[in-house]
Amino acid sequence: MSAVLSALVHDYAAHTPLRLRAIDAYMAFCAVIALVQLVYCVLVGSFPYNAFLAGFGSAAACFVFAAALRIKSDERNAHQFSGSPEGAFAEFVFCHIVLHFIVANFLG
Amino acid sequence: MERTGDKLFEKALEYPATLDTVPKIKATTPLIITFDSQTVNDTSLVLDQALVSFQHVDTKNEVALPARAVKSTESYKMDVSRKNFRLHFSSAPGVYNVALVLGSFKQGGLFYDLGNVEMVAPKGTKEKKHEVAYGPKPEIHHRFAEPQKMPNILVSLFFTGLVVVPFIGLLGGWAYLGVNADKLQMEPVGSVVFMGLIAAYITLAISYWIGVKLFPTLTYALVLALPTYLTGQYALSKRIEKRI
Repeated sequence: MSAVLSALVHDYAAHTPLRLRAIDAYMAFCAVIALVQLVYCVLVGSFPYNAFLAGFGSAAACFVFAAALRIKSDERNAHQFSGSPEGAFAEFVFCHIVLHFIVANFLG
Repeated sequence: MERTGDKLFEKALEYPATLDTVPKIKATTPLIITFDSQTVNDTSLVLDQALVSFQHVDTKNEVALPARAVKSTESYKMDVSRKNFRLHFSSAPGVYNVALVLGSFKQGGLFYDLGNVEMVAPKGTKEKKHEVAYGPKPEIHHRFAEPQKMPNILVSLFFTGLVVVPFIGLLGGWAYLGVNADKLQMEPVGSVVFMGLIAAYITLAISYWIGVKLFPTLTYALVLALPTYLTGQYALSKRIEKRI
């Protein structure tokens, strides 16, 4: 098991471009934020529920947008998508702007 | 001994005859009144209103029960079921004056006094007082909703700090990986303005959360939209050109 993990880590570090690793770090950050909020909700309770949903939803949505950016930024997927990584970044920014307005409305 | 289905009392009347006795009606002996109406030419008359009125002779309280049409016999039927008896008469027993209140738009109306019946309360029921007391009602003491139980402030602060720590970890991770902003120099002005406008949008979202109303927020968002789009388009297309 440990050999598989070390091979995975080695392969990841060797073959994954810097851009994708930066996006992976951001995705891990979003996942940890969502997990912390979930643990708080389980321990303390869901009141106020709208705030929990806004926070958790925000982290989850950021994770999903980052995943889409990663897929479109990967050069190996270039043949599947007509746009450029810069276009994917522009979509990423637009989605985040809309998301944060929705989250700000739902936070209360 | 009474059995289910036994007829304890039956009387047929023709207008304007009335009952010559006061039959006793109990909750277990439903009262059924059937009647038909005819014009002077002996043709069946369809009524627009067919009610049976029960008025207590002492208290003058009145109960009016509708009679439903029975098409097969061209007549009308009113049935004081157990439910209606319990609802209207159990708590107010006594002698009631029964009358048919009939109405027709073409022929006019008729109030036909049938006579009196005695509604007998079932054993054990309490009689309602018929006196109406007018006066102030008891004072209402409003109970405000109790505030929700919140956790200890230290727990909340701890988890707030716990949420900030991953952000520091993200910045550290990026620094470790070597993430930098060197390529922004490909198009410094456009990139800085674009990033500034994105920051303006985030600030607008925060201000909306703090207190700015929806429509002013949407107005500001609309004002920022075009410059953001144009600078983003310019900065990213310059980056593509220089990359290629």
